[in-house]
Amino acid sequence: MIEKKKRNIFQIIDDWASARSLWLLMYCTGCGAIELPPTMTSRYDMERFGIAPAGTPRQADILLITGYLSIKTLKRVIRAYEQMQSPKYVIGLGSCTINGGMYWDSYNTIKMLDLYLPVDIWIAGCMPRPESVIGGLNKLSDIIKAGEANGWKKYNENLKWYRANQKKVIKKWDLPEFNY
Amino acid sequence: MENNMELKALKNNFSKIFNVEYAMFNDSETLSIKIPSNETLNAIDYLYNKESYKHLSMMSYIDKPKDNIIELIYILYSYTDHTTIILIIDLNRENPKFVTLKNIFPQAETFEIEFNEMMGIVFEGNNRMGEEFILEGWDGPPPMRKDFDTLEFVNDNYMFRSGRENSINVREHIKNITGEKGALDD
Repeated sequence: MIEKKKRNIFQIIDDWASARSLWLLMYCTGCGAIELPPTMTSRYDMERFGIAPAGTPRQADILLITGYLSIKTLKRVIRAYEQMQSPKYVIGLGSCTINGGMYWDSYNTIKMLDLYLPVDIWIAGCMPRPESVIGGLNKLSDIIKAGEANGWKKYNENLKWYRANQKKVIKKWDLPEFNY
Repeated sequence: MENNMELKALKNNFSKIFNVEYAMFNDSETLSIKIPSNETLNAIDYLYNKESYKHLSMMSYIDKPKDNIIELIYILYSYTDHTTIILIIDLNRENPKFVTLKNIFPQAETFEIEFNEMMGIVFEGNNRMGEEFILEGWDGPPPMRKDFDTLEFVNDNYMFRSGRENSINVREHIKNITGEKGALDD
């Protein structure tokens, strides 16, 4: 675990600035994807909080996992996550990412996302409504401002543990060992 | 509704030529026929060339562990008569084997790869057999078989989050935290 270190003035400004401009990469293979168009567009409009969708992993700050992940998609998510530039954050949306949700006895979906990727914020629900999504994003923004969203540091420091968990379920491992 | 006349005629002809186990109408436009597996290729050839069933709309299977069989199902459609024929074949469950239909219906090739992965049915003559279709690096038994115990597999391969330690009612708990009424409360 990472100890809470005292930040200097530049880090505080840095955190404040990055909390105000978050680019969101949505991994939309789960059913949570359907809640995101209203979140993005005029009805709920997440852009008023400084959050906008990003086109590619390399330009994104947040990886939003919208529901269940099968073994095959987990592999792509890990690849996408490692391509993102730090600081980077992961949001687990929906109960499937928390404890498997309705796929708890499926042979092909993972049950706990935080074994494989460092999750900064969980948004519970099946499915969470756009209000909850925006609530979670605001909460993440607060945590970043306070300098506590350190999932990506945790991932780098405990890479061995994460890799061991990932390799346990991904039987056909063909990802590079280090790609960030 | 009256059963389709052409389909009725086909049913009679078919019963004369082939050793039909049963043939029954599912509805007025759909006829299910069960035939032995060694006559299936001739039957499909007959339906394709002599009749107008040029379209394989679907392949499917049913696992029947009690009878020790897997039913392989071909659903054929005729664009001229607008009727459907469902061909049912029994395969041995221990060693399910059949011949590929990719030379007649090219789309059967993909179905056959999927069936091989999900049910373990081997289609002879399909040289893409054993290719990965949906699962990556799967080394367990075919997952769609009824004797495959998913829960046991999950317990062996995945970790579960432990449940809550207390037994507080969730709605009460939320009310205590926020002081607000939940959406589902009266």
